[in-house]
Amino acid sequence: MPSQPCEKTEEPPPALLLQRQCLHCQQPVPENDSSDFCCNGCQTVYGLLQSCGLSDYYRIRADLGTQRPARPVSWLQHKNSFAFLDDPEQVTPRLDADGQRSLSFYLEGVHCAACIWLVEQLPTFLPDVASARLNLASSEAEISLKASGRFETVADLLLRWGYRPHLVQENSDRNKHARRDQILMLSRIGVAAFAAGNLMILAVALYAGVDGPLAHYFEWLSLLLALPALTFSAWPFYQQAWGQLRHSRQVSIDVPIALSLVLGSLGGTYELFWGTRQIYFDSLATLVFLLLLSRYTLLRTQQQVLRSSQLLSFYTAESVTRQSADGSWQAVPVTQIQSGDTIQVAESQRFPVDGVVRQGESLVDETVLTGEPFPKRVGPGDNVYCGTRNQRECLEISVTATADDTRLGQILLQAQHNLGKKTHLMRLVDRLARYFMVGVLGLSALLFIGLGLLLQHPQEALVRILALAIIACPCALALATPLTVQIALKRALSKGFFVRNPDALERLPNLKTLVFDKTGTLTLGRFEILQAEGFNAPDVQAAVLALESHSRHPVARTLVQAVLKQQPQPIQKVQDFSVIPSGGIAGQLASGHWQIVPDPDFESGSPLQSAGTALLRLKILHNDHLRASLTLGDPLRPEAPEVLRQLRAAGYQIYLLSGDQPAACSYLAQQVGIAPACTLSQQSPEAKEQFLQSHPDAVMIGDGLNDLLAMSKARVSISVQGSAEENLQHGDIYLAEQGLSHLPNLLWHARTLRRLLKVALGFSLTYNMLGISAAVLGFVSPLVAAIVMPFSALSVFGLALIGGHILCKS
Amino acid sequence: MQILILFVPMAILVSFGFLVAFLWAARNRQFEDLETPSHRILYED
Repeated sequence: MPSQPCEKTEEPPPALLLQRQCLHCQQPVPENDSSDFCCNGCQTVYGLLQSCGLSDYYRIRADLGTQRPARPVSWLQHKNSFAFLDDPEQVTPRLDADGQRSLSFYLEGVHCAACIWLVEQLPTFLPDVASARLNLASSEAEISLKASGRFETVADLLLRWGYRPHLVQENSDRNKHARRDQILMLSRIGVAAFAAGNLMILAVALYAGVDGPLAHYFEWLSLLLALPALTFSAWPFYQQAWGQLRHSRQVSIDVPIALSLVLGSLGGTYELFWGTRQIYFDSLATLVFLLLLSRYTLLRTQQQVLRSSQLLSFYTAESVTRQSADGSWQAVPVTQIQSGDTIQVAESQRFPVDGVVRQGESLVDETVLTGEPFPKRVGPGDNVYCGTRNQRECLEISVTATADDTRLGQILLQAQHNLGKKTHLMRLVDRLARYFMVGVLGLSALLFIGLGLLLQHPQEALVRILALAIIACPCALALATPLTVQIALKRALSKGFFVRNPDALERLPNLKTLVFDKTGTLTLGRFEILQAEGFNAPDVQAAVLALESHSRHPVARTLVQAVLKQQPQPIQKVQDFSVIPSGGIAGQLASGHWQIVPDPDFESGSPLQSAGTALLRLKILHNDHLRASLTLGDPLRPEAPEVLRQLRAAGYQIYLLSGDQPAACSYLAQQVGIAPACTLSQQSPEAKEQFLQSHPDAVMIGDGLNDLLAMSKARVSISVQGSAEENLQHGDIYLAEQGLSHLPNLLWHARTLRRLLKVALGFSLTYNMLGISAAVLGFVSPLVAAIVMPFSALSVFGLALIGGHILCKS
Repeated sequence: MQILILFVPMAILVSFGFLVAFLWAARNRQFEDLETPSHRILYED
């Protein structure tokens, strides 16, 4: 996005520059591939857009430089019924006055301004669509239909464009409530700003020395203007302070704030009626305005982070085929599914619930939960989990848990729970505020007894107490930390670090040991052809395609895709297809007899020309003559060696922990430059956990739930994956951008945040110390205190914003 | 300077108008999506 100041300007790694990009999703097209696309899905979408006259999409996108790369459209083969969208019993759209119906959809895969343009072109393409509006930040589109239209057609088209739509249940109470709260908060800010602005003009006149009836007039006007700011706008502070005082001993920073506000307004009113007529309403209103503003920005950031982590809504918004009482099958929304129901999950659909297989056998891709790239075989009686993908046959399952009760739901709940937690530093500040308040109250009491009773100056004592209460308002303290942390989180988000647990950012700078998982973290975690000999001959490719399309092994899938990407072609007929008992397949084609068999002499982990972990070598035999050999395995992430070199240069101790064979691990470790002493292979999850227990100050970098045990023991855990929305991650921090390249950046980000926090805290503590001393000694009048107070808040605001800019510039 | 007695309330009245406009905008969800319109304006005809 051009308007975003945080746009990245790093060059792609050299390895990527050499490769061609897919015309649709701009991901690299595999080498020795003659097509312009990375997969068939992307090709389909490209053709679709051209045929609709919407090819401007690519022109618009080219002008922008996208924020997030689009993902390859690999889900086109999903069969999904959207018929339930038009069933009034299941979905109730909002009705407009002129008979239009609207629904909101979460669209998977929208990523840039060109997507906005495309989605909002819906009305020109489907005449029944009255309007379509997309909110890029939340990826939600609101679509209105004329009376005759069907949502099913819209959803189908969106799916074919590559944006998988998920219905958003708009009328949930929580959403409505949150929206009302936000409007109320904005109104409070507006009223406070209005009052503060006008009060300041009047105050300047009064300070400048207006006197006589005009001064009286201005003072009363001030009181009138201050009233809404001190009541309506400041209400949340009174409410929370009162609640905390009544219900718990846990006093947060709200109590001293409320105290300052109450004392300040009472003092001001007293002065207005009986005193020297020094009123502080302008300062108080400004303070309320600034405090509310900072809380609002905080709330918005938090909502943004939370919304991006509300991934479960994906799985709760699809249609499911359920068996009804009479035994027939019916499409219903997931929300209607209950424990005990029987549902069907078609090929390549995600499981929307947890359940037990009743009928059918299939392969399930559990990458989401286990990080294991090879699919698991399931049959009757086996458990299947929400969020995993059914790869083969249609399964009939009986439901055991839905929504938040599923394994995935529990994980997400936990992750969201962690997010809401205050960080260590924020708790520290709350505690500081408590001592602070006790200290201020004690000082006031001392002043009153000492100066007022013993020295017989009650008037002077009261004035000093008032000055103390106003100047000691811990607003600088209250604003500094949360604001800095929130700005850091926001910047992190825009750079693609998804910080689940803000504590982790605070802890990160102390840790100098990095522990990497191998599969999926340093490598891509995918099965790919690493090395090929003689594979380019057309007859070899045709034979591989023909034979492997008969097999359902994951290796077969990789090979079929590889051939189709290189040279799309029809599949030839095979006669006498057979599976060889010792491994491999064979069959008779027009060109002769072909065999594809694994090489028994090949050792997993053997050195290769291209980087990665070799797992398997296949030999392709034509009439018993060796024609080609293929080495398959898990390729190294292209950026990994450079990233690890940088980290080592920065003084980090790097370990490799893997469950894999020693040969494979040491070969990979050598490629990325990890010392043999720091490479531990054949580690079980429990052994990994133990390793991290014995290295308490380590950062674990893994690729998901299979490293969960180890990650839970690490001081900070970082998870890495290719695509955010396909995989749910569980670490404290999640690198949403592809691969590892942003890891050094993240570490830098955490160090900068720590420095900023120190500056902000130091500033507010110094300010308070100086202010309190001055007030107790009687150097500042309440009026001066009231003028200084908003300035301190403003300077903290400024500090945090400047800090945010520094974080941005990395 | 007595004219200020009239001018100041008039100024406040004007700013009150802005406050009302702001409250109206907040109520009409104008502040909900601050990102998309900046892109949309480039491609709307």
